[in-house]
Order: sequence, then C-alpha cells, then structure tokens
Amino acid sequence: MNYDLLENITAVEISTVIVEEIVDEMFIAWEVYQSIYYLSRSSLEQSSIDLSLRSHYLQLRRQLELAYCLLLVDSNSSLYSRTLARQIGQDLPVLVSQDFEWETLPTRLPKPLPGNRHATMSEVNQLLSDRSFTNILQQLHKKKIALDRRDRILHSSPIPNDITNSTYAQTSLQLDGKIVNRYCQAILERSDRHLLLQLHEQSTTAGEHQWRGMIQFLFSLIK
Amino acid sequence: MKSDGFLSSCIKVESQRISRQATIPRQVCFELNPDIIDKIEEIKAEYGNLDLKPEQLTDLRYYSLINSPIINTQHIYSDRSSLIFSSNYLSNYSQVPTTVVRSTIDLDGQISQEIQQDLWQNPQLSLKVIQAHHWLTAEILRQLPLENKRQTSLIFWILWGINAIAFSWVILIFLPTFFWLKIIVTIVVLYLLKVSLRHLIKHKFRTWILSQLASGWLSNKTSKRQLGFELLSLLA
Repeated sequence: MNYDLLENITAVEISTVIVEEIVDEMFIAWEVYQSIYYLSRSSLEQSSIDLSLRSHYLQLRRQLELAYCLLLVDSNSSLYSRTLARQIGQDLPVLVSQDFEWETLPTRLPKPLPGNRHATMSEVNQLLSDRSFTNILQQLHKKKIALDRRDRILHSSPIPNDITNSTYAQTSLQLDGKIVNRYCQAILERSDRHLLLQLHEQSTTAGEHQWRGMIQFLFSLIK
Repeated sequence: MKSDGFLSSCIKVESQRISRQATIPRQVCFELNPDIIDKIEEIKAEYGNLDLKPEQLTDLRYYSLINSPIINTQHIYSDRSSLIFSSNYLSNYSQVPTTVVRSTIDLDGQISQEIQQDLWQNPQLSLKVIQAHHWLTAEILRQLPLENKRQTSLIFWILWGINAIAFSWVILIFLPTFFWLKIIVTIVVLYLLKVSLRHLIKHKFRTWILSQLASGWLSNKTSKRQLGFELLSLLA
C-alpha cells in the first residue's frame, strides 16, 4: 500500500477546454504502449503528422525509453537489472537531454508484439503490470491525445481564433504559493473572451474544491 | 433543505464488466434535463444539500478508492486512472442525451474541465448546466470522506481489557516466581500488548480492509463494500 499520497505533487493544474465532442477515452496500456513505442521519424512522416508537431511526438518516445531505463536502474523496482544498470548509467545523460542524440541509442524497451513465433509477450506484460510505468504511460497517453487533437486542427481548414479542442486557459496552483495562469493567444481576439475567462475562473474554483474533496476522502481512509 | 430521491436518481456510476462476476466503475454520470436543473437551482438558492442514498455513496466511495494511489489495483484490470464526472444533457427538443461537461480529476494534480462546443453556443444554458455539474460534483466529494465514529478507542479498550485479564491471570497463576517479579512481568507484558494491539488495529487491520475492498471479498457487491467502509469508519 502506498500512503505517500502527495509525494510527487508540486502543483494542482486546472485546464479548461472547449471540445467539439466529449468522447470516452479508454486507457488500454498495451495499445498506448504500442502507439508510442513505434513513434519514429519515418512513422510520423508516413502518417503525415504536421511538421511542427513531430519533435513533440518524438519526445514522447524519448520519455517512454527514459522511464523504462530509470526503472531498470532503480534497485527498488521489480524491473531492476544489475547487469544493465552500469551501461544504462552511461546512456542516461543522452536520454535526459532533449536533443535528438538519443535516437542513435538502441532501444531497451520490449517489443509490443513478439518478434518471432517462439517469443512470448511475458516481458511486455511484466512491464505493463508495473505501476510506476503505467502511471507514466497514462501521462504520455494524455499528451499524445492533445498532440493528436492539435494535428487534426492543423490539418483542417483554419478558422480564425478557433480555440476548440485545445486548452485555452490553464491555472497552476503551486506548492510554493505561486499561481500561474496561461491563456491561449486566440482568446484575446474573440468577442466572447470575457465569458471564456469567467468560465475558466469557475472551472478553477470548482477544480480546486474537487481536488480538496478527493484528498480529504483519501486522508479519511488512511489517517 | 435536502434534495429528495428525484435528484439523486440523476446520478449514475457507470460500470464496466470485466468478468462474469466482477464489474468496475468507470465514471460518474449526471443525467441532466431542464427539470433537474431547476430543482438544483432551487436547492442551491436555499443552501440545501444533495441527499445521496447509502448504496450510491458506497459506490461513489468505491469508485474513488480504486482509482486512488492508496490501492495498487493492477490486478483488477485497469490501473489507477482519473476520476471522471460527466454531465449528459437532454433538452426538451432532443431525443438522445449528449455529454456536455466533463471534469477529469487526476490525482497527480491535473484537473481538466471540458465543455462541449454546442453547449457553449448557448451561454445562458451553458452557465446553468456547468453550475449544476459543479454543484453535484462538489456535493458528492463533500460527502465522500468517512465519518469519524470515534469507536477505535472503545474497540481497543475492550480487546485490550479481555487480553489483559487473560494474560495477567496466566502470569499470576502459572509463573513460578515470587510475587513482585510476577507484577513486573505483568506490567511489561500489558504494555507490550497495548502497543502491539494499537498497531494492529490502526495499521494492519485498516490495510487489510482496504485491500479487501479494492480486490478481495469486500469488493464485489455494494452491500459488502458498505460493510467495508463502515469498518473503516469505525477505525477512522
């Protein structure tokens, strides 16, 4: 049981989005793993992803590789590998830097599907049953959804000041007391900007209450 | 003022069947229509509360629990995810409800509020629907925390009392030594008993109930889940 509820939380971020349609997005770990594992320059080119977004997609792939390598060198992880730890230690600086040198490193991630008929999926299944890894996978999944949305917008005929399907306002309430507001530039030109800002203000207040409610519930379970 | 069953009937915990016996909750849905929105506004104006049925509250607590970082739920199919509250709106002119507002609360601190574009085209209605959505969500989250029934000390003292009598009796009757040494041994044993019993009740028993609620014998029926949360409130 993990009782360190707030261990990795440094801020509460509340985003407001106007979307064309609210759809149910299911998280199937293997499916998401596969979609990020196969991201490469050639696959992005083949799928005609907008040029401006390709580096963002590649960062998802880098982060996936990095997350796995960090688990392999973590002695507390079930995936810890003593034999690989030293070698990975040398590769980590390359994986951490956001330039594209990491693409030259051979991947250590298990293939989503076995390479030949004698191989099994046990390695990938073991990886996907690791809680820390799936948590990261979920975060990457959200980023990928946002990128996919952005790509669709860029491919459709542009509507001036359109804010649909991307976060138009975000408020970050940080642990050190800082409050950071970010707004999409397009809302400044819109006639309904006051309403949009009012909506985000409402979302922020509600979001903060929702967060507090959740934390109070969790503490009532473990205190 | 408290809401009647009319309002709580618009709250549904949508579940997904993962095996013949087991289902896991996927999201909380509010089925809104103009009448329900009027009713919410009426209750809000009178500073009223949402009256949830006990079974509903149990299901909502269970949904929050299995998506929380407290429990490692890997073996029950879907790993921890966000809490999702969606509002479906059925206007007087449409046949099918549409999802118009969604709050996604990720326990890592990411909260997303989505509003459907068509609703936003009608600012007056959107304001009402969004406010109703946030009010329902806030009312649910306000009622989720377990009530502290302050029974731990009573349970503790009863168990400790029974054990203390039994241990003292055994030591005083059967320990082959002189009287004052028996008294010292009894005091030491009772102290150790007190410390270990407190640890057992406060930590081990709670952890065991939480794991049973997440994926054990307390997890598969609302009545059993209710029992699990009742036991936890006794220890709160």
